[in-house]
Amino acid sequence: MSDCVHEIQTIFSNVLMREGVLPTTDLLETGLLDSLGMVELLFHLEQRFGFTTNFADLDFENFRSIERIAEMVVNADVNSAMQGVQI
Amino acid sequence: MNASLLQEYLDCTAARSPDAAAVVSDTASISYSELAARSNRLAHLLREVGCKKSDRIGLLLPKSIDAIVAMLASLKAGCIYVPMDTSSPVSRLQMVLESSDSKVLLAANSSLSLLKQLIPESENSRISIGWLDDERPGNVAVKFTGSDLSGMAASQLDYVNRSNDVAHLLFTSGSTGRPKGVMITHANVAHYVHWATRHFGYSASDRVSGHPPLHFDLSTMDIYCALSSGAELHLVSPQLSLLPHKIANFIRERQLTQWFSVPSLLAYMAKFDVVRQDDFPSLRRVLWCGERFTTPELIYWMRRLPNVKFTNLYGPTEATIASSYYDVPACPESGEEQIPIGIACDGEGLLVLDENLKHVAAGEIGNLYISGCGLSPGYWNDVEKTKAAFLEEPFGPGSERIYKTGDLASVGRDGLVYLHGRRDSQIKSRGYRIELGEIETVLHTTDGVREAAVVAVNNGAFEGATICCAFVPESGSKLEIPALRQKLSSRLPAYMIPTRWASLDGLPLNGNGKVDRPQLRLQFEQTSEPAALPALS
Repeated sequence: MSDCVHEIQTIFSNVLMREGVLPTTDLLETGLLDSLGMVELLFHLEQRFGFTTNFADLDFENFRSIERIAEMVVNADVNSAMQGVQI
Repeated sequence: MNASLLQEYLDCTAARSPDAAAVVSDTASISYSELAARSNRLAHLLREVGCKKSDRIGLLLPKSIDAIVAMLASLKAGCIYVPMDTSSPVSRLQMVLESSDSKVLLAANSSLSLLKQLIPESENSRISIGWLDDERPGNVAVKFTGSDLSGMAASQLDYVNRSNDVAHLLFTSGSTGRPKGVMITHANVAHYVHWATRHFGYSASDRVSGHPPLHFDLSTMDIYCALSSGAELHLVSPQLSLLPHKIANFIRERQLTQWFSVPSLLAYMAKFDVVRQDDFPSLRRVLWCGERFTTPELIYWMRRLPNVKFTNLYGPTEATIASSYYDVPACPESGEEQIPIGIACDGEGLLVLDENLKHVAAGEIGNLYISGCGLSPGYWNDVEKTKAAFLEEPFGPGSERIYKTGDLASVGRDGLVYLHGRRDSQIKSRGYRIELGEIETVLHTTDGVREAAVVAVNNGAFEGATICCAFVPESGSKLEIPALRQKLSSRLPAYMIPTRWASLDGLPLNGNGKVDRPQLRLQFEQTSEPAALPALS
């Protein structure tokens, strides 16, 4: 989990160019994540973790913080593994 | 309804349909009679604390029922409201406050942290804080609170304005680094509302979206067309725009009859394929304005919603909401088809002129000017900028005033007007009008930056133009891109922060020694990442 948080922090700093975002920083209240950032983030989550999801399953709370995004990615990993699906 | 003052829409509808829902947010709704009563009470209080005709009232409020009440109360008190972007950095809001010389700043719990940052810098100003929540905030001196409102009369106030008085100031990006305040009169908006309610057939049974932020002039169409026709205005929270399926759910669940937003949002929804075949059974019209809507995405929408009408609106803030319209007659056959901006709305004029202000021939490209009832009186406290943009008697004594949009256009053989970009460095991104020069001005005054240039690249992404920044750090400076982005974020609103960045040893120069912007654009175009989005079907 902590590796995943660290990797997502790296996406925020090196790809989205958002500096100093802590794992618990509220991305929505601070406006650090907008629709452009969302598209880029999803692209890189897919590239880095093979994370794909049905958009309809997503809620704002999944993107509230880097910690919450990491939880979503890890849970998706577990769910897929349980179903024997390679992600 | 033919009203000459914007608050009249509310007063007349509240008298006719007091119990009908006027505004609906995520957490509450307010009827027309309640909206009238609350705005009357606040207007009485504003007058009691000394607000006079045409005083400016700053609204430091996120999009909410409170903000709509505050707008209408300001008008009822005879004042001019100044909607402020609560997602903007404090330094920019400070400029808006200073420039507008607001007498009162209305705020609430939802904007408390921003207010606390703004106030220390305003300590010496004569601004009073009007607090709309009941409980007095800590560490902020306020002139009144929401609990004072209960003692005020809910009776309608006498109208003290004339239709040519300014109703609101809307601040837009300015190339010199300071936002410009566009003055919009009651008559400017009322004229447009009169045309739009008839043309689009607004009625009391409509449920219309309130998607644009309140500092964005398109929001005035939703608000005043709804108030004038007795429709329900459904405020769309900014967070919804993050997840396209949530917006689709919103349109479905609220049973909206009209959706009005910027094209980038419609394209975002199309890219993620969240619109089902024959979706949104209540919806009868989709409108967009603020930037070009790409034709493949329009085809996506029109194929899925064959029973919905689609309208392209066009117009700068200086000409009030929209000056032209194009009701798309049928789904375009090819993604290559260009969608025109159409013809002028009633009472307005589109003129395509050459450098000598002569009409160009059909098909030829010229400068687009606007004339007519929508034209703003000009920029707040800025005679020079007003003179440069608004030409008085351009065709001889007594001829009509015109506004130079800066857009290039042609009149097609079909009589419709088509856009062909701009000559200057103003761009549209996610519907926002942005002067790239304003971003450069901020960069040039940022520690650690030796040189910088900002260009826009059209790479087919859904947001319209992508803002790209190339900069050269000062020698010895270890300025990294994230740190520079952070610095910019403290001085510019989020929609003006570049998406693509390059730290270079030197900017590319042309033969004249100036920054070679076409070359820079090319460099960014070649390094653009492919869009991680599904293909349209």
